[in-house]
Amino acid sequence: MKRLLPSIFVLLGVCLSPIYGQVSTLPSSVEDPTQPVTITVNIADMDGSIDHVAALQAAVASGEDLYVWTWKPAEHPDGHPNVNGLGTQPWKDSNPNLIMTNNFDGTFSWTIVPTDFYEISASDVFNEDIHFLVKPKDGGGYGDPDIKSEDLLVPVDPPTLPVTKARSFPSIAVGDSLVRIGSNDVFTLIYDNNYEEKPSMQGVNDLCVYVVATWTDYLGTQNTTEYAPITQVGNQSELAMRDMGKGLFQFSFWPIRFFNLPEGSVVRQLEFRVLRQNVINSNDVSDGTFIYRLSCF
Amino acid sequence: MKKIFILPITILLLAITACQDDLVLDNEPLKNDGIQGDWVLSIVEMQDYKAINISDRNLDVSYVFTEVAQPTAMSFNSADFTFTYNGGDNPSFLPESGTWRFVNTSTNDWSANYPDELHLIAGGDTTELALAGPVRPQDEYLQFTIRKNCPEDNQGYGYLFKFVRQ
Repeated sequence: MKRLLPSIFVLLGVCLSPIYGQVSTLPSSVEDPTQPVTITVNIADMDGSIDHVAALQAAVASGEDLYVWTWKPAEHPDGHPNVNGLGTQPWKDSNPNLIMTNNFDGTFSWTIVPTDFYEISASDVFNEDIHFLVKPKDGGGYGDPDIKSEDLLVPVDPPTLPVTKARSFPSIAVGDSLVRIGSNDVFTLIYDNNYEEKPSMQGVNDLCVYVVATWTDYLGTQNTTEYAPITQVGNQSELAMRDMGKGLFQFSFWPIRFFNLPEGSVVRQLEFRVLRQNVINSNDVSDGTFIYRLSCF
Repeated sequence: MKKIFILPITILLLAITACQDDLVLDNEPLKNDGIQGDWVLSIVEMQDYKAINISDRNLDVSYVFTEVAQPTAMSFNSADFTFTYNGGDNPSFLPESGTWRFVNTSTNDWSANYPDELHLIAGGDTTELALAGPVRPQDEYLQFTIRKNCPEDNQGYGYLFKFVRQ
């Protein structure tokens, strides 16, 4: 019996989970919720042995339109233009704004930009996914038999990013290539020694940075400034990385002040190398140059 | 026999109640009183609202702001509702002087009770700061969030500033 229990739990999980086998998306996997996604549901593929699904299939066969009813990653309140239903019996009066496109092949589609539609951040969409069902304008209820699909799910997951030993704070958003901060903001380089591939740099904690700024002055002229030559950074205490514990190190600074740039300057790019304060040779320098382009002007 | 005890018990009860002081409740101190005075910036957390993992959304960057010759300081006057902000050697995120008010945004009320925002008004502009904790007279910190946003980035970032009472 004990051997059967895991299988029973898996089976229960499958039965109780929202269904996404009848749902397809374009693009086929949703990795950037700030971009449009078309969600298509196949009504014919749904399980007609369930009463409310059979009623839904009958409604479609009779030519009724279908509407989306969604509650995750967020549900709009009464009065919102994209609230699920209208009036005192919303289940009987779906919002015209949530009508689906009939593809006349047994499928219906709905196109949204998730972060715009739900009015939340991409990270919140990643955390919650998209949960919804489809129904005709009058979904029954209030004493009448329900007319609806089962609960449906579109998983939304960020692309699998390669694990890197260096990253910026704030992070670079999915689908972006820039760190979105202004010249008056603090920039942080975080270095994770746990992912250091060079044996001579593993487990060390006397770390500092070599940093170069590319910036433009108030006339737009581009300049490049090296804070200190790489052979001298170990002597500059302000270039030391702070030990955050667990193999993590941070270097936080306000670039404009750090490089003492003239008023009206804009920092466009920061370039780092991570090395030991007592640098003797290349064994004391982590491989790789970490370059971040800044933009928020 | 029972009647014998009634009189002493009654006297005892009267004596006990007569000895009790009248119960007087202090007036609840207003938040306006709590913010009065001088404050120095002591803790700064940068916030990244677009970080995918919740654990990656905050980072302590205090040392950038506190290990300077001239720290950031603020003063509030609860009588005339004026404030001053001295960025010191740090970025000037806030107006240098003006008037202030507490706001309860759920009731859209300029209320000293249960405020969730601190508004700084200077030169016709209002800077809205989300309070991150109460500012009663007994509270050590004045803490609020400065939210920033790039025009091309609808997710943004911000700073949690914690000022310690002087």
